[in-house]
Amino acid sequence: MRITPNMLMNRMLGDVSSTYNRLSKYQTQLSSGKRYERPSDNPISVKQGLNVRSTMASIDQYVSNIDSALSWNKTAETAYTSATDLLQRAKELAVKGANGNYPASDMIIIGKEVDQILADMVSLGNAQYDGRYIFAGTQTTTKPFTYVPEVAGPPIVPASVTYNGNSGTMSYEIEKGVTIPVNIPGNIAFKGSADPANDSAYKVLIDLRDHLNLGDHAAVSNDTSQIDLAMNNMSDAVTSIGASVNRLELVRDRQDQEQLNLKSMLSDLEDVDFADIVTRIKNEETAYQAALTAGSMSIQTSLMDFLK
Amino acid sequence: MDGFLGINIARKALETSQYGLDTTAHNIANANTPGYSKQRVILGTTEPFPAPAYNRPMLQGMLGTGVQVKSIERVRDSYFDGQIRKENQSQGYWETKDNTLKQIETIVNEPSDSSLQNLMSEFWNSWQTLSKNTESRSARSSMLENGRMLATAFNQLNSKLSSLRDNLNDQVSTTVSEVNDIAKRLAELNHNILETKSFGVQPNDAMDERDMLIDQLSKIMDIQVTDLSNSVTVVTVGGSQLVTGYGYNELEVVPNGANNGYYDIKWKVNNAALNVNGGDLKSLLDSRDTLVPGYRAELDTLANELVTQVNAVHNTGYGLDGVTGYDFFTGTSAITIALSTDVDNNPGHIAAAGTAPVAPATTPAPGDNAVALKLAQMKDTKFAIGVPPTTGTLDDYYRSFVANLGINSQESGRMVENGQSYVDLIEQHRQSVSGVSLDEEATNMVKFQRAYEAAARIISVFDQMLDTLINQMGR
Repeated sequence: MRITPNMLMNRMLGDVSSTYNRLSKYQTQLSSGKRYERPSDNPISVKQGLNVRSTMASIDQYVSNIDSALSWNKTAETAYTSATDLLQRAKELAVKGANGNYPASDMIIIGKEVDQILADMVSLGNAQYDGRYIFAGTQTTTKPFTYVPEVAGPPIVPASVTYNGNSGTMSYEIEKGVTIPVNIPGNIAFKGSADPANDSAYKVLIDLRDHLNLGDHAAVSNDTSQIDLAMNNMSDAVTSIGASVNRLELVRDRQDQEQLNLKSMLSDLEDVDFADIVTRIKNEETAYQAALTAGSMSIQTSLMDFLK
Repeated sequence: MDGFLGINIARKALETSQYGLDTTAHNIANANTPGYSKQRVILGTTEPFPAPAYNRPMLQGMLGTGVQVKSIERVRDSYFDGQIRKENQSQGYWETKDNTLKQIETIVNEPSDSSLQNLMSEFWNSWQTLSKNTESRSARSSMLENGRMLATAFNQLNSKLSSLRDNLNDQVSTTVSEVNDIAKRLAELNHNILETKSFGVQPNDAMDERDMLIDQLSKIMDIQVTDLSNSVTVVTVGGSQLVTGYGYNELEVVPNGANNGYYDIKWKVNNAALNVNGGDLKSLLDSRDTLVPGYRAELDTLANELVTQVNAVHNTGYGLDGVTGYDFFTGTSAITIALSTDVDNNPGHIAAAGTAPVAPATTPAPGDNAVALKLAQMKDTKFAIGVPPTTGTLDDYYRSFVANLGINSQESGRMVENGQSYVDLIEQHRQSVSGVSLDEEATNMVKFQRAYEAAARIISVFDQMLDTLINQMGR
């Protein structure tokens, strides 16, 4: 094949420019740290990358959901634990009041303390998290328990506690397709006076106080067992919250682990291997210089140089 | 037969050497002219003496009478021209397609933080955030803003693809006028060449220019080149003649109302549609009428599905005002998708609640998040989307769209690269035949120079002989 200087020059230009193109591509990769910029650089990796990013965004959200649920649950747990303590104290008082040796006047004094306990219990039932009443069902902006104080003087008018919430529950999504209820409506654990069951935390306290005020030892003694029922009810709620918290923490750990996996997957997909890219750049630089040197040598010489 | 024959032979030799040197100079001068083919002087002997005839003088043998320039030819192999033109067509096609696809990729802008994929993730996540805080006005407002941003992103993608189409349409018009210019110049060259040839001379430079223009044209559209015996080139496009000898048929662009006012390409002479099947022009038309609208349609499908599915769930919920049946989005395509007026500027109307207000209340429980949660979970809900339907999530559909775009663009990039190396290879062969080699020209230069010197020497020898004959004799 006949070779002309122009062919040599074109070939050299071609070599130099393709080397230069690769050099520029690698340098872009080095400076951005990313292996590709546009889908056509590697369609399958880009698609996987998008998928991973979207999953990571979901997981960030799930983790944030779990954190909210945890805070919510912990607020409830604290309220329930305090409520159990209050019932415990009420039980001690009831045991004391059931003692037949106690005069009615002393029983009225005990009754006053029970009234305090009742007031505390109402404020526990109105616990809030992030400005929302956590025991109001889905009526989160409504104060769930309202206390109607005793009207003074005989005959004794029993005070009542009304539940203003509903029995709705709220669920958060904590992992793909999995939701968990975050609230226990107050009518389940505390129960209002509207509830006919005897084990309502409020009803037993109101009954106890009324019986103390009336000096009815037998009735007060009977109230002790009702308080036990209310305490059982309360501890069921605490257990169920504990289980929820455990589950949430477990899922959270799993999500954290998953997030780490995804991060490393994304890095595998997208991130530049610096050692590799630096080596490639060095290679291309060498090739570039070789092409230039070879080119400059072949272009310089021609027959013209030797003719006089 | 006289004593001056030799001197005449030497004179002709001087002349031809000069022709040779002139041609060498022309070659060297045009060593870098694009499309130039090396020229060479074809030498031949002049008529020998005596001419064979019955009444020829009785001489021993025939006496040569010297050298003459028969013609100056260009060195060219038309086989490679044909090859390059064929390859140019597909190269022109793929280059333009690749260019369009790369532009779409830039418009889609994946992967990046501001891409549609990210906005969709944020959209779904805001439903999650809302599901945790249905009472919160700020969660509701940010939900609306994320919905608005997603809708706007669809609008923008669509309008950028629209202006890409407008741009392609402009290029159609520019390219058509380029074709007209080339056709006009080819007709002029045809005239020029025929005229020159009629004087028995090879119009080499004009033929080079003509070949180069045909190369250019072959990149724009599919053409057939016919070299008729009188060397007038006729170029036909899709069976119609673009250049007919000294004349040419002009093309024109006519806005087509049925196609958004985009241009149709027609023959000016009879208003018939141009039938183009390859090259840059075909690619521009395909990109404008098929490729870009195809991607746009996919985005429309996605936007429409998003609107339909989100509304279907949203309609079942209750706003903070207790009203049900509110739409979240409105529209049916990427350009029309927007926040519905039901919810726009009315964060309270977002239907997060799933349970109807219980009388006597007229508003749903503010913490009811059933519908917000359902919408958040739509991210992972599979639908049958598109024609033919593929089953997957809305995000899956979009990711396939991006991957598909990437694969197409990758393919076109590869076609351009491969085609280019093939064109380069043929061009290399063509250059190998037609290119100017300076070493070769330098050799020729020496050759002609020496021949010139030798012929001049012969003249001086004859001079001495004649000097002897004329001046030294008979004294």
